[in-house]
Amino acid sequence: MVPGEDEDRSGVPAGPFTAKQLSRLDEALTLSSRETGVQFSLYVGVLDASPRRMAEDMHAALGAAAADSVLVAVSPGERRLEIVTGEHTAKRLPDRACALAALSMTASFTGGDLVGGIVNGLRMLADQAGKAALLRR
Amino acid sequence: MTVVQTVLIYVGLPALGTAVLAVLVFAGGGRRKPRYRPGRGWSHDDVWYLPRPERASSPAHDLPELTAGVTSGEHSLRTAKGGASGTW
Repeated sequence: MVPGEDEDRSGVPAGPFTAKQLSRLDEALTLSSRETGVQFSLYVGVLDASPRRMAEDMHAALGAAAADSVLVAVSPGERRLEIVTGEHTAKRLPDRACALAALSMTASFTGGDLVGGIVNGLRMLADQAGKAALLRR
Repeated sequence: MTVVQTVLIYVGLPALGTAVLAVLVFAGGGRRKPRYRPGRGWSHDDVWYLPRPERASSPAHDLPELTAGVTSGEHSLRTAKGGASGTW
């Protein structure tokens, strides 16, 4: 499984989302990442018996980018959400902030609003992480 | 009022109204998007999205190449430092 492999190139989106939902997700991911300098990535799919472990393995699979990455893993089947921060991003996004975003997201998921929950969660995480420029320079 | 008129008004009009409502409700129902319902299971493929690179035109952007595609199994390197979990 490689990130981005399900990108819509043929005009018909593969995967669980409609084109409109995909564009909302794309906008949320891209804007939050550009604003903050943190690379947010989103996984939607199966998380096996030990979801935390699997999410952390996926975070490790990001390789050199992992330290500056935040992985949001959503498993609608198992009703499980994992947010994983890396070495640098953990400083900007303390566990408490992640827990708050997770709470907001699961509240939306309970109502069946998968995309809305993800978009709002990403926005909350990005707000908490703050601007990239303020921290870098 | 003749019998025909009575029947048309008291049977025909309600039937017509019901038919119009039914058409409005079910029109376009065939291409309704699949909606997520908690507890109903999830049969779609796994997807993993990354943010768009800054310059989408250049294929070799600054992001480092992914070195591993396997998500299960052992990674000697632990990159996770924190985060949160949730269930619903």
